[in-house]
Amino acid sequence: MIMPVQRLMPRTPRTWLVIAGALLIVVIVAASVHRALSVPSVSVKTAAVEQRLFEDNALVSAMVESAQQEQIVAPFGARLLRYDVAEGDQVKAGQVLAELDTTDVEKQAREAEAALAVAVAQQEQAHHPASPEEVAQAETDLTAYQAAAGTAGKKLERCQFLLDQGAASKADLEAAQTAQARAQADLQAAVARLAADQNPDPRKLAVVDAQAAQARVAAEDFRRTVTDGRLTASFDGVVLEKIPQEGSYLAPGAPVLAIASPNQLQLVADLSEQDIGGIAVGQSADVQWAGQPDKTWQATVIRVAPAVTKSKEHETENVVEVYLGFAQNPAGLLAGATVDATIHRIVSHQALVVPNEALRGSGPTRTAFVVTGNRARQRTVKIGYSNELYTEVLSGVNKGERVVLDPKDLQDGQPVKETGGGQK
Amino acid sequence: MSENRKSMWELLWGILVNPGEAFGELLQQERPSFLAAAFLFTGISLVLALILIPKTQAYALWSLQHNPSITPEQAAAALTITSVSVVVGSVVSGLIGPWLTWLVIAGLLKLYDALFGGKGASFGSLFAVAVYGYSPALLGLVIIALIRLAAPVANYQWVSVSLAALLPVQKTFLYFFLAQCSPFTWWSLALWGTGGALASRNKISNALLYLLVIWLVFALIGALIAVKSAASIPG
Repeated sequence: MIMPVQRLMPRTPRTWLVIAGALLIVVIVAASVHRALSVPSVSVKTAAVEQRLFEDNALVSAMVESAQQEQIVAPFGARLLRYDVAEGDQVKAGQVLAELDTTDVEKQAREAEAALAVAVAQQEQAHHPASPEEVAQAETDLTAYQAAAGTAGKKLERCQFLLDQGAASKADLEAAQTAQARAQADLQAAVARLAADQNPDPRKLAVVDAQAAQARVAAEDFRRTVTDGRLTASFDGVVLEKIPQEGSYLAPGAPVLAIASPNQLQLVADLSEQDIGGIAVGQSADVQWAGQPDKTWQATVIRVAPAVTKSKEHETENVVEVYLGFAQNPAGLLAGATVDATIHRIVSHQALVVPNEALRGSGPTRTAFVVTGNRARQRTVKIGYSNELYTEVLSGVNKGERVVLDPKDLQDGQPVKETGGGQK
Repeated sequence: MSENRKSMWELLWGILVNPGEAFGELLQQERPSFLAAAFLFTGISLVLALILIPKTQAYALWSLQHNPSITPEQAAAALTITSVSVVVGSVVSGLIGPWLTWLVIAGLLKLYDALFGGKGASFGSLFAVAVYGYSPALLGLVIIALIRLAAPVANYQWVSVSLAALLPVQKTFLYFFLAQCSPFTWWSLALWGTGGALASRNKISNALLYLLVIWLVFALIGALIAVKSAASIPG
């Protein structure tokens, strides 16, 4: 017995309601399960890849100073007699700028000259051998002393004999002994003198030579010291500063004058440790000075100090000194001026950029996530320059694409919801 | 009558497939028994709460970490108290939640009986209706719990057996209103309306309309509150 289906399931409104309800439950539960088990979408902030003017500058305050600058100091302790120039004077190399009192030094120089003359005379005497006449005289003297010594010897023998015979006193014998000893001494001296006249002693010669050289050096030193008392410029320049007053007593090494060459100016800027990053030799800079506000000079970074030092103005501040040079003499700029310099870490140019926080990793190749169809797609990007906000992208993303900001735990292909963009 | 009395299981099945007849038999009892069903439902509710505790804790921590208005330090400081709160809250809601629901529903049905010409249904019989009519809602809770156990933590908040499941997740009024539109809730409402009308010896359609209006008001207010507080929900 097969019963008709319509008999089994009568199509009453209640039946339809139950069927619809059951279907609704099935559909809803299925949809809920599907959604719950799918990879959860993550809310992300995004930013567009932009083509824009890209640059990175460091704005610094710098001091203009001469690249060739000299501080002239007192070479020895003396009173400053007078200045021969005024501040701001143009001076030539070798020109006398100031004079020290050299009275004492001159006296010492004269004494040294006299000592030198004595030493030279002694040296002359020691070095010149005796003349034939002097040798002949010495030989004659020797013969005479030999004869005198023979006579004194015979007289001593005679006195001894007479004393033995009781014909002479002991005092007579002692007198004869003394005369004989003196004659022997004179003879030995004559022998030595003759030998010295014939062959001078090389050790004695070395001593007198050294004494003469010493005296000569001392004399030259004093002569030079007298000359050094006249302070001169070592290059063509301008007198920047006269430091002590005339009449002051100066210790050795005390600064007296500062001169600088006006044709070789440079800038010195103190950059904080936060700003020094990216500054390198060869980077260009624009220089402006309040003294000539309409003018801009071009400079170049020529040196970056290899160490952090204390600022000259604020001793509590750590700075790195950066030197900038001018290719041409910066006409109108004065040494000592304070200027504003804009150092171009990155010269302004059009570039494809993304916010720094859109990039993951380090080095020249990094990772970014691009939102495509509500999913985050991982891309490898090559980067160029960076500044505080943006990084130049050389390849990997295209203009107008949206990159995820701070993609910390994002996975490739993960569903995302854009909740806004980063404001710059 | 007592010899022909149906067991709790028969009543439960009957209420799901033929509610008019099953409620009729339940209400014929002088004092309709509901305690066994109430304890059964409470037990199920508690078990669901307990097995969901690890997942709920994980979601609470995830929420703290992903809430932009909370600093990492604040999130770290709140970890312990959040974990404890989840345990206590789950157990309490598992135990108290069903009873509170039944109390509210029974009260509403009693109010209906008093306001719309009922024949003086006892609160006990209306409470029995509320307990047995709760079975579809509990079924919905079981399904939600199972889905939540299987789902990633980030999706915990958005698990729902309502019309909202058919839409992408969004923080709009419409979405939150549809989240209240659960067929399991409607089913329970229908059962409560049927049982309440039978107990009051009133028209079923009137009771259904009465409960539907109250639910609608509740759903609209709930959606409004959800939209207002949605900003603090991460994800």
